[in-house]
Amino acid sequence: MRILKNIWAQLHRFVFWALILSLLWAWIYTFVGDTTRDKKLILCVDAYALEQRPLALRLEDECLPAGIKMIQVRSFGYDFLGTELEGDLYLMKASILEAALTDTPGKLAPLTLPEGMAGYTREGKTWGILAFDPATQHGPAMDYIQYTPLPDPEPEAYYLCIDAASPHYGAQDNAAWELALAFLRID
Amino acid sequence: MPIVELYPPERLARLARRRRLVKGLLYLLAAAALAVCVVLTCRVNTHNIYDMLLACICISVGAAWIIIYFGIYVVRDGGRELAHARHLADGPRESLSGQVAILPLKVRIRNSVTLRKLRVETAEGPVECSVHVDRAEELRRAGPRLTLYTVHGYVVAWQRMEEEASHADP
Repeated sequence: MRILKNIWAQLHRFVFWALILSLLWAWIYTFVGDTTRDKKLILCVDAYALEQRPLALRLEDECLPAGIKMIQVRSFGYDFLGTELEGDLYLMKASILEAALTDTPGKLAPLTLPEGMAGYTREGKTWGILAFDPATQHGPAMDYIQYTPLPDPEPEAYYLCIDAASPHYGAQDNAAWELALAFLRID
Repeated sequence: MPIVELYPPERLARLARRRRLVKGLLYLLAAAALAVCVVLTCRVNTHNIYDMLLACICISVGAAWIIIYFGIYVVRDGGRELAHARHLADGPRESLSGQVAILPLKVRIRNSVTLRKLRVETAEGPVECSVHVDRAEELRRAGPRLTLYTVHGYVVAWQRMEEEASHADP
């Protein structure tokens, strides 16, 4: 009884320190749970619904290129393309891709696709790999990404694009391309 | 009937020892909790980050609550009681004899001990004095008619009056 009375008398201190420590650890873990840009790959997805963490975990299990410690999956909207958005890969609808090529030229990298891989081509260059095909209604990682709203009479194609400024795309470091292939393999 | 001291040297020594021991254990607990949290944080990966965060919060909050509880009720209050007792140790003693009533009123001296007010019905009239709140129960058990020895109005020792009388009668 006395212990309970003592606890009750100090309740404000218990609550205060619980709050302070929770906030402190949450703040510390925002740094612990992140890494430098050169050690992580960022996949930005513009879809109707997205399970970010499970997809990131699946991608880390499927493919963690050399030198990469973490894969982040983020949700993004078209508006973000004109900002300082730092992504390596973007999964977006065909209509968004068209607008992005017009409004933010130079944002996306032209791609060289291997034989048998469909892509989005404009002005003789390929800008995206076909991820979700509206004809077959099938795309990669459908357990994590909702490509079409329900019901959608005219679903749109989704393309996977690579950021031209990505530090992981090029002759030296091709981790973004490896991640793109791993993403497309997820059933 | 012998005089019962409320702050005999053995009691004060025991209190000081207990206070030191608990203080050391609390430092140890804080260091251990911090070490465990650092180890957990170093083992973070994408799969376990939320579990590790939760574990760190639970460990640090649990340790903080234990430290707060024992830090206040053993270390701080023990230190205050020791300081209070040492302050009274060499003061001039006065005695009050009569019917003792323990009043429900508790008085907390700022940054010091909490006291219980007493009223002693002496031959000269009622006199008020104070006793450490944890020692009030001891006085209650001793009975209503007591001789209280006080320093600066604080009770430091007591003696049963009936026993005195029975010794005096023969």
